[in-house]
Amino acid sequence: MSLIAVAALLILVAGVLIGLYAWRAPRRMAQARVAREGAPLQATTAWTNEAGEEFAGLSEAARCDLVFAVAALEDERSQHLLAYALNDPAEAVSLAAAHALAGHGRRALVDAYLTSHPGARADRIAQALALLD
Amino acid sequence: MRTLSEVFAPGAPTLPEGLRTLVVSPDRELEPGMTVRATFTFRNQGGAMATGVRVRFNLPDGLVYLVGTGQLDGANLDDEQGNSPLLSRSGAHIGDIDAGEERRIEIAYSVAGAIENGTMIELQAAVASFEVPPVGSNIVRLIARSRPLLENALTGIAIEARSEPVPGAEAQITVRLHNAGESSAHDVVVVAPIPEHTRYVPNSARINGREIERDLGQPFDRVHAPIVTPALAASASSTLVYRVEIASPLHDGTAIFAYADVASQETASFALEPASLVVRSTPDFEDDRTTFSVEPAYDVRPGQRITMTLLAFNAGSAAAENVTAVLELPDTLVPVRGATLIDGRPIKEAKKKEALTFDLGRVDAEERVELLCEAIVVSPLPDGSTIEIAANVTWEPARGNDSQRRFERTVAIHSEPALPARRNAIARTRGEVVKPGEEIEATITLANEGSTSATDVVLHLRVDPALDEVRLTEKSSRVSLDGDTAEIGTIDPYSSRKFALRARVRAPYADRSELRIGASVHTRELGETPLGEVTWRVDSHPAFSPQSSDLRLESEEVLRPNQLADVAVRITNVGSDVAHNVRVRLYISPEARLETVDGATREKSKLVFGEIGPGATAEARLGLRLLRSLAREYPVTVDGVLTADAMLPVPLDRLTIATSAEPDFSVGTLRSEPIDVVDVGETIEWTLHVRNGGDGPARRVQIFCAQPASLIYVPNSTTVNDVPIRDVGALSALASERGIVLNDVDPGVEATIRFRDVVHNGLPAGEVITRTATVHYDGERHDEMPSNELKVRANPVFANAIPGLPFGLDGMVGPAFGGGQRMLTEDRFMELPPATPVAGNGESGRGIIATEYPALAAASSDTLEGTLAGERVGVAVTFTAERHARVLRFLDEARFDGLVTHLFAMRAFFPEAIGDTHVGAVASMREMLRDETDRLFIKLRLHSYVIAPRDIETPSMRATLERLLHDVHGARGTPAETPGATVVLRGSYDPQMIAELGDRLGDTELAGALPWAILARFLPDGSAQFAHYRGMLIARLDSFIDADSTEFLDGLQRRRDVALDAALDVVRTSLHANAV
Repeated sequence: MSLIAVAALLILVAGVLIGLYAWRAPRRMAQARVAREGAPLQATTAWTNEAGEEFAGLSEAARCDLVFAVAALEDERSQHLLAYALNDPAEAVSLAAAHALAGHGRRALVDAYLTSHPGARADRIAQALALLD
Repeated sequence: MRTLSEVFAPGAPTLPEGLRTLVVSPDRELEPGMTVRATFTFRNQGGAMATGVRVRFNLPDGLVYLVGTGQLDGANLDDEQGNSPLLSRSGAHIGDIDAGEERRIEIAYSVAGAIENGTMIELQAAVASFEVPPVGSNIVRLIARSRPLLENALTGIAIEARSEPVPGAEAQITVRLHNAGESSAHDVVVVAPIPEHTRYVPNSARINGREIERDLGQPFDRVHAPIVTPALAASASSTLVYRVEIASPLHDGTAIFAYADVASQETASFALEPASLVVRSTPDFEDDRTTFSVEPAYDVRPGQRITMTLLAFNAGSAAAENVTAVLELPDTLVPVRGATLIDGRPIKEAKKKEALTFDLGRVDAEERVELLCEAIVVSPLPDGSTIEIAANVTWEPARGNDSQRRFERTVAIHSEPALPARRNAIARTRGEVVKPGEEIEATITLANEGSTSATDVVLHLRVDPALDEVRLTEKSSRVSLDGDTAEIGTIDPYSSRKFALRARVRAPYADRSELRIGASVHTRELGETPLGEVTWRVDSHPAFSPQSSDLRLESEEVLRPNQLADVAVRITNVGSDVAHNVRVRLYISPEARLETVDGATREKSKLVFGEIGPGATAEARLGLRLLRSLAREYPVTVDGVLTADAMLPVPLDRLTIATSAEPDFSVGTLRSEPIDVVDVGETIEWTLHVRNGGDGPARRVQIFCAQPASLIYVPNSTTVNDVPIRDVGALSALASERGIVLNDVDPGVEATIRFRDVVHNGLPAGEVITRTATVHYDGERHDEMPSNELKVRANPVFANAIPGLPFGLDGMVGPAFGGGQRMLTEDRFMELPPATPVAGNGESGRGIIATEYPALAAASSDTLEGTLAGERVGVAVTFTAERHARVLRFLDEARFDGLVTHLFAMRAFFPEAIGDTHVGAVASMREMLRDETDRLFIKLRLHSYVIAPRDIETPSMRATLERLLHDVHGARGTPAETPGATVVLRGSYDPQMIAELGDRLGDTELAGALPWAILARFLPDGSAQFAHYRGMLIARLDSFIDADSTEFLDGLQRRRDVALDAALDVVRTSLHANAV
């Protein structure tokens, strides 16, 4: 057999092996992602209005600062504001609110919120809270 | 030879008298009416028969054949019509006459009645035959005798009026002449003078209708005896007529006599019977020249003066006496006294009863008198009505019923109502200025001063839109308004109606606005009549009052420090205009701070509400926080001054917020060292932490701690915050009656009282030592702080000999150190392992990382015991298994570019205990560090977040650090073991270095590297990995100490230190390696 014939035979064998592997190789199971139940997140920054008109239209960082400032207060209104801030479109702001609420013993409220708004965002917030716990 | 037909023709010569046989009776004269008989006899004198004999008589004028008298031989010859053939042109055929025969012909004539006297009448007969030519008879000539007769019954004179025998009328005088005789009267003369009281009408004389003045050559009345006719035939008549005009005036009954004399040539003058005409003459006011007029007669308005003119013209021919005029005026006409004129002259004022009777006196014929009266139409009168006016004129002499004349006139009244502007208007009842919400009132007066009723009256209102609740009332009854109109109905003349118009000004309404109400009234007769309009000026202002605007505390609870007081600011604009730029300036006691404002815009200490409408309320909620640092029991006062544009400031009632600040020392602790077991004779160091955990300052705090018999106080060992306190006797001041007195302890202030006791060495083992500190403050309050139980440990000892002691000694307690303080020396002290199990809850498989002090070698793989060399102070951080895992995850996650990653590492490894005593600030520092780094961790999750200075250090963090440095200043030794720990990281630091760095802290700005460089020195360095990492970290942070914060921040986020990161990775790896 000439070298050319040997090479062609090897190529053929390799092709057959590749095809066989492709046929028998375990495939990643297509798993349907479990649809989580819950209301979609209605992200809004309107919660800043409750803090006052001058707080409307704050940047994300400023909203974070606002959450931190409010978190230092222990009155009911501040807690309500924090709960409202959970809906902030910025995940960091929402995380700040969740962290503040959890720090004031309202972890149940945060958990309920995250449960009612499932998704990657809720997962990330939950993970971050666990880190900072 | 002439034929018989040709004889007796007019103008023809008579026949020659051939026969003389004609006999006429009478034969000479004859008179009118007489009968003339003629007989003609003839004989055939020949011998032959005369054939075809014809006889003919002539018929002269003046004679008339008497019928039946023509006879032939006695035989009548008349034909059937009574005509006699004897008188015919061809004669009467009497047949043949034989010779010798004789014939007799008779005929009779009657003389005509009128035949002129002297007239000659010739009679002749003729006979002819065929054979004989006409032969004439003898001619008989008769003379007529006759005369005229004028004076007869038919001749007379008459006078008669052509119409009425009244003065001025024409009368005609007729003189009739009749000739009753048989002959004509010649040159008949009539003397007819013009009668008295008459005047001849020129050229009016006529004779038988023919003018005679032309023949007379001069007027008839100028000829005395004119011949009116040259001949007046018998039986003829002639009439002379002429006209006269009756003189006027003329008394009634005047007789006008007409006379005439007649004569002719044949008749002597004789007078005719005179004729007379009685003239009828009366005053007369009946013609149209007597008038009674009323001016004006139409479209007369009540109150108008009318002029009644009676023009009495005596159109009669006699003067009227006692002419009287009586005016009959109805009640609707009032005569004007003194305005009566007769012929332009005023009359004497008469009595009232006779006011309308006027004696006009005598009025001659063709004269006139004018009576002029004036009267005024009374008012009111209905429109379209009429006034009947009558005037009676009476005069004398009366003739029958014609002595008066009555005139009636009608005056048409045009009457209309009148709504003069003077009395019909709309007027304000009260003042001009009105405030919103108030009621305005206007009076509408409708007064009909016209002379008739105003009907279908409709009141139109033009009400300003700013007015509401429009009501229209008349007296006490309400008049319904349909839109802006009101049906009023009828307004009688000379009556008025008054309406009250009320409306309410809409609130709010702008200041200085003008409100306007116009009114007009529409009547069927007058149409639209404006009543004018009234205006008001709105006086509207915003107004605030302390009664309606206030500062109110929402909660009745007493405000405590650090609490928020919810204050409501309610502002009510009780005015009627919009308040602009409403602001409330707040004056808040310095003890409180305005933190939140909801419902208004805050500008420093002002609340800006903007505009507040009238009646509107604006409310803002304020959050006032009572400051802890300034808390006193003083009430917080909030004053507010309300301002707005164009308004006086209104100070609001002061709001006083009751505050309560109570000190609280209930959270203090009394701890001993050692904490659990103590040997007899051992020194116990008590640490009493007294902290005013309340919110108010304590004026006077007394701290007691009774000295038990089981413990012996170490003199001069009592310190308060490291300040020595003088003992009272041999006891600590705590045990004295007065205790330790602290004054003015503010909230949060902590006092650490340390004192030492020595355990009485005679105590039996197992004795439990407890002490209780009592804190009395603010008079009645007191708190107790029991200490932990401390068990006395004592070992049984039988021997009384001790090596080195040359004698035996009973009662020795063992190799103790007496009352001296333990020295943490390398050769005299060994830290005992923790008394609690090192693992539990199923975590027995986990090991304990034994970190070493740098100068201390590891004793085992699981535990570490050691002492500190020199002045270094030990630190420790313990991890449970769960926390260990969480820290690892945190370190894995908290990886960022730059130095900031290591701040999170410092959070993870910051020690929980520093030294061998409790340093309260450590926990605070850990919490602060945790809070700050958590926030930073969250913020760094923001996209492209740039670290800000406040993310690195805050004033509170600086304060906590300063407190930590202060607390660790006296720290000594190493922390005790913590039971239940899986991993214990230990280390030490040089307190001198810390102190040096701490001294620099006061001059360092925030967010610099110095605080972190200090904190890094507290990190554990018990293992080589940690020591390496801490050393690199400190070096790295120290490099930024002298840099400004900007550079440090830049380094945190941008400057990655690969070596340092690697050192951290080594640490993480070592931790992972110890994690199961």
